Amino acid sequence: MSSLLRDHWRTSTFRLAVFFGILFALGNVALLGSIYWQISVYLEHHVDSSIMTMSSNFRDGDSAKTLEEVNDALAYDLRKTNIIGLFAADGTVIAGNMKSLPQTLPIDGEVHLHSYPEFMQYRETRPVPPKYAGVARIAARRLSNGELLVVGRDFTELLEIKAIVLRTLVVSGAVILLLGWATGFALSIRPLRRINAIRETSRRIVRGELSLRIPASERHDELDMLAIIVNLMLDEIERLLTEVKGVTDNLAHDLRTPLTRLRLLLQRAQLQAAPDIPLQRMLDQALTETDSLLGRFRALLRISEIENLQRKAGFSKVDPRDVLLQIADLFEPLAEEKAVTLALQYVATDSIQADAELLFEGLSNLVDNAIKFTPTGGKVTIRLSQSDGVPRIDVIDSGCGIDIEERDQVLQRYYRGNSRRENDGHGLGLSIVAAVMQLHGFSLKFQDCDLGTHITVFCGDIASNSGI
Amino acid sequence: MTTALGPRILTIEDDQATAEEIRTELAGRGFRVDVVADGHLGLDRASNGAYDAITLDRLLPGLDGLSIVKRLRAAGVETPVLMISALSDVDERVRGLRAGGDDYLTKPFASDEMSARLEVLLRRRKSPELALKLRIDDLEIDLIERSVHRNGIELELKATELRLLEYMMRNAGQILTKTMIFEAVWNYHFDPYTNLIEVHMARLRKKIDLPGLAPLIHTKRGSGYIFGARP
Repeated sequence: MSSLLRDHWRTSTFRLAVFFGILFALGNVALLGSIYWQISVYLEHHVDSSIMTMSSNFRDGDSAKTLEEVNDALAYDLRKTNIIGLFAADGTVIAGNMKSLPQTLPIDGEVHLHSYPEFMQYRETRPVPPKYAGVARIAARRLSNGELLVVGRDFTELLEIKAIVLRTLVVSGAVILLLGWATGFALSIRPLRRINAIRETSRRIVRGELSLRIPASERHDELDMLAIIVNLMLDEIERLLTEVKGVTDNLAHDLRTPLTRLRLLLQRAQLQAAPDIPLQRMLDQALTETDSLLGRFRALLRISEIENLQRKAGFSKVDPRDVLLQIADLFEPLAEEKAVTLALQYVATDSIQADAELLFEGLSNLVDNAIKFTPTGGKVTIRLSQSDGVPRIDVIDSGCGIDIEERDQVLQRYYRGNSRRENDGHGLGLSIVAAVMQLHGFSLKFQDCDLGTHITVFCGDIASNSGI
Repeated sequence: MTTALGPRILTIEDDQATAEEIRTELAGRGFRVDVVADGHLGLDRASNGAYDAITLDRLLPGLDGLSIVKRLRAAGVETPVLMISALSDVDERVRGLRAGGDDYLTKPFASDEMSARLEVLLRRRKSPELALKLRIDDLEIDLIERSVHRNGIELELKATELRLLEYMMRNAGQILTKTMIFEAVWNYHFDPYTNLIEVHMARLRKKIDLPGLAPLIHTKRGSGYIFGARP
């Protein structure tokens, strides 16, 4: 699941959608913030002007009159939103609904925003949820007789509006972000599916199916444009590879004819020369060298023959056990001659779809190599088992083994058979094995082992472990 | 057929170098060789049945090798045909043999391999019946009882060794190349690369050619093996 999310996150569509989601959320903040600001400015202005009016309405200069007016004003304030307090010069309460004179309130006749629970009793009587501490707009001025007149109005509704705006912001922001995320996810499903198709195609191309091309849709969108470019490149690569392969094949083919004649001449010379002269030994060596050259060219051509074979043509149901029994029978004398133990272990397995002759040829090369590289007294084990739902063939020898770095090289040659190694055997022999296995869709793997070489053939499609 | 003059061979081959190679090799073995380079002409010549064997190129101008062999067989001409082709894969071989060819050789070939195959075809034509008891010199093989006796002594042979021996005895006196042996005994058509056939032969030899008795399996240097009392 996390990898799926990661895949989606990597698509530009998804990122774009999420980016727009965030952008809309920010716009939302700006919009609601501006509404809040406008409302608060308007309310402030409205409240302040009425406070100023109210404050100036109280008579200055006549203490008894002022006191009476204060009491009247409170009596008529049915909504109980007004704050009025009359204090003596030393700050003691004379009249009004305030408990005490707020210490921090500047006495300058201007309106200030002030929290008021410490001096208000009104709030307790109002049925307002107590979660807001309560603020008020208050103005205080000194009367001519030295008394202090404080007039104000409850302004807690501003906090309420602020809370409403914040709530709206959170909810709508979440919805917008969620929508953006979901849209991005939905929109990136299709590109991802296409990327997966491209990935699958590329994987098969890397495995050697060079004629495949990356699928492009009719929409000619950016992925299609890319696919078309890559396909053009693949065309060119395939053309070049075929050309190179063709040149190699032709060369191998052309060289075989004169080599075959050379061999015949050497052979005739050997028959005509008197026996037991040093020339005979030289001719023998020349023949051996010619045979080795011919063998190498034959193998090269054989590899490209196998690679060019029509896939699955001539495939039939084959019991791998039968093939291995024949191989053991064929190679047993060779192993015996080298004093190498050749063991065949098998259990009943599924049958496989294969070209029996090619499979025999491929596996023969594996066993041949194993015997060739195992010293006298060593052991070669061929093991057939059922693993991961497919038949599995292991060829294990106690020979010199292949270095880990070298394995990579050998494995790379699995894909192209045009390698030439100084050393007989592991080079082209394994390339033939690889070509056969690739034709069958079987996978080859070197296993780690302390001694010798351990190669496994999985006769079927197990989870691929290739790089892409 | 006059053996004194040697068998008559028709070579249908458009590549001059190859044709000349075949002619030289076969003439050297006392064969009389006619070379034809065109498919239609080749079919005409082959149809009158005056030849003991035919080497037939697969790709020819006029009429291709497969059609020639099909038409010959359809017309009831049973002259043995050795198909020679640059097309070497198994499918091509199967197609060639199915069309009526008797053997299939891939270009380029060693001339001695070609003549060895041709001689086996010629001989097979002379004795087509499959005897179930074979005897050569003092070696006897009973294919029903699957028993082998040399000079009256019973020999223990494994199944593969028995098949190998049977093939060699049926083609006694002929040069048998390693490729021919691998194809006939194991029925596989690829190059076994190593000295597999040699070790099989060495093992058979150890069992057959007992000390004190004249050897029956002879190595023909560079080309293959001959079975018989004399090489």
